[in-house]
Amino acid sequence: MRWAIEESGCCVKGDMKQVRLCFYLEPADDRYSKHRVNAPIAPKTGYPGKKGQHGKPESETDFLSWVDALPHKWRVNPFHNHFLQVPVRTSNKAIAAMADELLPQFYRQWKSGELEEVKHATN
Amino acid sequence: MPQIDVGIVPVDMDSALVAGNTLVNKTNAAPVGTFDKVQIWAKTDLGGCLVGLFEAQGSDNYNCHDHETIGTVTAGSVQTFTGMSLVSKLGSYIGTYFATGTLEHDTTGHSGILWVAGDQLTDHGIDGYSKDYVSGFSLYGSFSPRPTDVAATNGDHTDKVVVTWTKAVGATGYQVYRDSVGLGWLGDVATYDDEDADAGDITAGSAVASDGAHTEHVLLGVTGEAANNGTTHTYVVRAKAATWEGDDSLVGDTGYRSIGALTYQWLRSEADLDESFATIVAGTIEAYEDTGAPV
Repeated sequence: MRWAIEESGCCVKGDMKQVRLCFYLEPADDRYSKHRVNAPIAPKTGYPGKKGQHGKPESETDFLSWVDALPHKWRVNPFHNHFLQVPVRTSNKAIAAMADELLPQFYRQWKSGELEEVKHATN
Repeated sequence: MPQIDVGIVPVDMDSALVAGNTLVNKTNAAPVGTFDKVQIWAKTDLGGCLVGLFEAQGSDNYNCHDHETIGTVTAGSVQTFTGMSLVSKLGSYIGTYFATGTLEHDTTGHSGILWVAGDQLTDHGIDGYSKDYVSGFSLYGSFSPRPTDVAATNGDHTDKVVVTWTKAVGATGYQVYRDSVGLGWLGDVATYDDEDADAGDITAGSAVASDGAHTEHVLLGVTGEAANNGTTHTYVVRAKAATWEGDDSLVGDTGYRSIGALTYQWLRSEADLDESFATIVAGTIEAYEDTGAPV
């Protein structure tokens, strides 16, 4: 297991900063293959085809063909992402200590299935 | 564990929604609460993703009343995010905006989506949304309502342990658990007096009296006596509302009843027998000189 800070999910909110931590599995970890995916790598310009209503591609067939034709890359996605809300002046060392503490906790929840668990309640 | 939820459980769907629009899932509206978990399934990596909760402001207008910055969402597997704080109003819908990428979308079998161009989360816009009535997308929020800040008194009282907590949003009832045993549902309160927590007890010890060591009194004393606090119990609290029962507070607290300070009362037998004791009125300290003992 390992963790990394994902800068795209970090921001400042008043006196606090949000730090996004990504947690990754290693090959020896439980259910490693679940987040090892052959992901399509889309260009920054996005889908070039015509867009229809409601943000949908006009042609589903064309869109799916475009996805299939994209270069694919095997990679490991995070098995979990967590946001820390900490005072702005929190040091990197303190954040690393928090991440070190969270990593085994989330891995335990991953192994037990609790992280992915979805149980509808009657809202 | 029970979860209160909003939106659609994310899966790998057949279709996709493209970037640059504000999209709202009309399926499965939210109750009042604070959502701390979001799950998303992207078809291609999302960039600049925001997630928010929307409330209706008329027939085609919606206002995003709370949102969080997610950032990049990697495609190909469900991505789970915790540590968020999205406060919902009754009937809120979950929605998103992403600058790049595509999101898993299902064309039928749901309650529809709302759509408008651009980012309406950051701007809290209420622009007119267009909608369909059947589709949905892979965006889901949930929370397990729990009381927080559970605290129990540690020997502050001899007759009870007082348990306090911070209420869970939307909850209307609470139950305190002592060592995993429920103590009965309470109303919408944030404190409970556990008068049935184990009481403390006293170890009496042994009385010692001097044997002729003094001419004017008998010196009395006690050894091995002790005041023992009640058993230390672990307390957690669970919340419920009319339609849901939440999880135990993540962090509980321990508490116990105290026994109070030891007091003493000496008694003297009439004869050299272990019977017919009379109270020595002034004998109320541990080391007492009994000047009334017969010569």
